Amino acid sequence: MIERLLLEGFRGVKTGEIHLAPLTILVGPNNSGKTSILEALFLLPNPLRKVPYGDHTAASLLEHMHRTLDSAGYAFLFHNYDYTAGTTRLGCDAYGEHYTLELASWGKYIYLITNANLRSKTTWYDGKTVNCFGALSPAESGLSIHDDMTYILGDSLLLNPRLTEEAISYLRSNWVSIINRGITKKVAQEASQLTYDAYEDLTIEPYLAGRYAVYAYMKDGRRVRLGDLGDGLQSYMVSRILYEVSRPQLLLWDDVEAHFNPRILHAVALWIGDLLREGRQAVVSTHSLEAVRIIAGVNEEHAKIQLTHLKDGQLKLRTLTVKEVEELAKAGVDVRVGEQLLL
Amino acid sequence: MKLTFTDLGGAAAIHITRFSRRFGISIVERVGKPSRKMIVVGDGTPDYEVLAVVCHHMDGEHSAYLVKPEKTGLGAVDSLKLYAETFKDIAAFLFLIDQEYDELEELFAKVEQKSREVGMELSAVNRVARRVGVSECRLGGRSFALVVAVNGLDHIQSHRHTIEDHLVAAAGLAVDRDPKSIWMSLSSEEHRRVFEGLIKSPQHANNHLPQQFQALQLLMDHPE
Repeated sequence: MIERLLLEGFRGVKTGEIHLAPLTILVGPNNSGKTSILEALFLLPNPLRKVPYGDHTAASLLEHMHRTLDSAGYAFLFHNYDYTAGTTRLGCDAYGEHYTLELASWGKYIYLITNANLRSKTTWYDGKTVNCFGALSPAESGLSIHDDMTYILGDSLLLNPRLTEEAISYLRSNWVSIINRGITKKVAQEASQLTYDAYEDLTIEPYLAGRYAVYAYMKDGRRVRLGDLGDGLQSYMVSRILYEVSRPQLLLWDDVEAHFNPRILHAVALWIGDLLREGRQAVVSTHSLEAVRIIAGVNEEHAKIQLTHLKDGQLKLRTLTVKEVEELAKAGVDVRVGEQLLL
Repeated sequence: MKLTFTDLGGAAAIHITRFSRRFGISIVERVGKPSRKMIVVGDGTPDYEVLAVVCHHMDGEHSAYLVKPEKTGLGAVDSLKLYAETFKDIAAFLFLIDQEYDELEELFAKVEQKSREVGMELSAVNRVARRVGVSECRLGGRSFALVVAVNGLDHIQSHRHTIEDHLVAAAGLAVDRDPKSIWMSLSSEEHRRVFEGLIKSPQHANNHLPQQFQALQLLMDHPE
């Protein structure tokens, strides 16, 4: 399990440190460092590994998500985009060891260096040999991969409501292996417990004009395109498939409540409970106190609620229990907006 | 018996979901079959857990909605009226309430009085057991059954009777003070052992939770 994460010069966080539980729930205002924590944990195992989104690596997926207009490249990983002068360091304590991932600029590139032993070594400007995953460009989306196979930590999967299209693109490219593993059937049947429709399985079949679509097909034989289901059900099914495909050691979920009715949130809480029982770990972020109550409440013995706050790049946190969140709410204090008093 | 919740973000749903997952019992349905039965819980935990145990031992074919109003005890009757007015398909309600400091007869009388105060007309009041009553209710032109079950055990020597009477008895503990405080003084491991025993043996559960079994059976047997 990852017990502690250290961030230095990473995205909005100049310095920060967070202690993690088997289930950590990040709650706080917008721009308070929640997504940066999740993205750091997503990169750590190996930023250049393939992830189940289109043809992306972990790093390129984040680059894709953060693009605005025609801007591209990886400078966004550095605090204030200061990739020339700054160094970004991520560190974590896990399994009794300390692992680091350093993003260091040299010449035209940003190198991804770790203290863990990799197959790929690079000779650094001072003559020392360093373990290097590869290199990124500050302003271009291209990257140079030296080692995409070695994981310094167990795999992590990032779920984010903005990534559904990339996820479906990945599913399409790997459909036969996903079907043959029985994943789609299992997920379709789980989804049937969340709605009044009874789904048998998912399938890719022709739609109109010879084009293909992903369908949920029902016990009565009818097909409904995945994109025509409600956003919540679609997001739940896609997330479940991605999880079953990759079975990550660490599940990261940004805005876990997005599109979800409490019925699906309960299913998510139980799913997280199952993965915790298997010795896996989860970190989720949310703006919803209802999501906090349900996910932490159902998994009370494993859960830690972390209130986040970011000011002048300093990440501050406070650990809360469900009971404290409830009592504060009853007393008229919403922890999502009372962070300046609580931290 | 399966339970479907009217508020999945509420404490009842969260407690019972956690409890059922912890003990591996299957009593929760997020999308339940339409039911015409509703359980109104007057008091919170550990009533939820006890209800989960009893439902686990009942016929798994039946289902009921479970609701926990904000007001506890007799105050829940206000919400009962709202449910009866709003959920017109519900044919039978079960109201579970702690005896607390009242004499048993006094409490039944208070439930009747409070029901009448909020506009429910009670008739054919039938005490089917010492701690279980059934009556026909009329409200706003419709009728429904109301089963009232009072938590507490007569052989427990205490001025206050609550659901903890049953749990302390199931734990086999001597009662030298308020059973609620005895139960609260036990560790979570001791709580777990008591619930494990109740879940494992239907006979043991029935012996210690007689009125809850009887009341749920009455609810299940009420015609749809």
